[in-house]
Amino acid sequence: MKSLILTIAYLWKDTWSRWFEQPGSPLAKGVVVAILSTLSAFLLIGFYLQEKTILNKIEALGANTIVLKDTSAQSQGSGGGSTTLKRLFQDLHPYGECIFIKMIPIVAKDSFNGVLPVITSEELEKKYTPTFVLFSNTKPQNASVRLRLQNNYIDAIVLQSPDWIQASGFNEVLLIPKTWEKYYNNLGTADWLIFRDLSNQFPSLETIVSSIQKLKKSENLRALHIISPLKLRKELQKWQEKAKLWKQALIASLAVVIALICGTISVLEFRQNLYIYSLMRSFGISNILLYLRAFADSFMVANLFSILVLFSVYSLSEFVLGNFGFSKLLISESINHPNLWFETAQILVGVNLGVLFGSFPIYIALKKPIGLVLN
Amino acid sequence: MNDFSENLSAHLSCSQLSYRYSKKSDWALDPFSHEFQKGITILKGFSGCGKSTLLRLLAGYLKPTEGSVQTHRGAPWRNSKYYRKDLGFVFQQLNLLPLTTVKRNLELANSLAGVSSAELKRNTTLWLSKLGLDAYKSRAPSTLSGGQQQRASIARCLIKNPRIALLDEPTSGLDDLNTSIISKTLSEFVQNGSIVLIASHDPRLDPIAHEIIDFNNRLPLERHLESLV
Repeated sequence: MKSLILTIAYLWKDTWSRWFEQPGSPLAKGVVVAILSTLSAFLLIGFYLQEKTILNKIEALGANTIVLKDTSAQSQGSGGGSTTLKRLFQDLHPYGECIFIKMIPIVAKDSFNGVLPVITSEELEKKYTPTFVLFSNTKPQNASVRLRLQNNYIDAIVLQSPDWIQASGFNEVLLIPKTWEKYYNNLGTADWLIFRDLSNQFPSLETIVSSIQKLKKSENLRALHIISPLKLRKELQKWQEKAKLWKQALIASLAVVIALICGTISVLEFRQNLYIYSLMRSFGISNILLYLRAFADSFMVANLFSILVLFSVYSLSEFVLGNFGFSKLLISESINHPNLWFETAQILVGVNLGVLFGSFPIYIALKKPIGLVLN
Repeated sequence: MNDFSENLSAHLSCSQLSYRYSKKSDWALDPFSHEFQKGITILKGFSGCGKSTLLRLLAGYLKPTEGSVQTHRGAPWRNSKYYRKDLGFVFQQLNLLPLTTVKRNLELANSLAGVSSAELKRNTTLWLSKLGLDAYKSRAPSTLSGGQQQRASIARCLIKNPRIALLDEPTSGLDDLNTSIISKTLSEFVQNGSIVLIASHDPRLDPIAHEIIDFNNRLPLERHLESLV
């Protein structure tokens, strides 16, 4: 034990002295690692943010939500569209939540003259009382707001906007009682069916969308529009596959470049240390301990620089990646997320693999006979 | 002092031992066989006759090109236990660890032999005093004179009480006083049954030798003449 302490103490002193005598050598390693880590970190954070952007879009749409929009009744001035949707898609009930909505072609106005689309829905009416509800994420929740509906003033309660409202392309929507529908029937309506697949079982969202498309074709429903997150989901899946490959290639290249550069520098350093190593070996100190010393030298420098760089990248990412079109809110949210820390921690894996591979030549060089070095 | 507790009697022999540094180079050591006796053996011979090469082969610091070396712990080549416990070596260039004190140099070598802390302390004090290094124990090797470094190097070799001590020109360039200190120390040291091999030109060491091997007698005349030229 005493010998181990004395040996390690001496080797540490030797490392320290070399760092001070020739700071260029550890600095060269550190700078190379820092540059590569910076590039990799920005790329990985970029990948993460891109993925997060698509995910946010899907979430905004409702991950399992299909919106069917039938505009056939809009020009007819009758409520025929809703009947069509109900007739055709009543069978979806067992697989999830179905909300039939009638879009009334009038608008309500708030005190700032903001225009609010107006809807009626039996399902929503059952769910919410009172039945004048303003779905909004920008107005104070549960507040009562006075709105003008053509020539009438009504008071509506503000509730949080469900995700399907955004999927329908609106930010705010006013729900009015079904009984008011009759005043506006002559204006025609657009009917909506919001279907939320809650089962997470067969039939999958893909199957349902495909069946609806078949039905649309067979029934010749030209005015039926299908809005679903499937396209985004596919886009996400494609992106994730691509990103996975890129990440693997990035980490592998990082490891190879660091292995080559740190390996070359370590071999040069080793030549300077060959005398001390051989002397130590002549006392019977094991090659493994001496190899570990060389490895620890690079390991400390590389990890120190890499971790410092990662922290710097995190603090600069809002500025740098903000210029690449990512929202600052998304960046600041993501920066503190453990998933992103996990993503960037892969850089440390690459760096350490590089350091490990780069140290192999030293292990081989340590086999040089002592008698060829010491006289 | 160090342990002979493993009850292994010192043994060092070589058989048809030869060496060359590369396939294209000349033989640095022609086939040599010998069983070294306990006590002091001095290897004599002109420069380049292979004395130092032989020491390094016997230490296990070089791998024989042909032939073999045997010790009480088997072949010495890359035998770290042999290096740690049984072998003491004084290099021609002394090779003290430069970044630490004389005392630490001795402690490190002795600690690797696996002695207890108390023994380590006792041995260090003893050998520093034996070789007149007490006053220099806290100094870095680079601040010592040649003679002091030589003595420190010998103290480091002998502190672990090795069964086999190999010394390459331990008195070269030393004055009579230093040489006599070293001669006396080595004479006392071999009393414990160790094998000590000294490669040296120095005739001042001859009186302490139990055996002298003259490499000049082993070589053909033309090679001898070549070396003189």
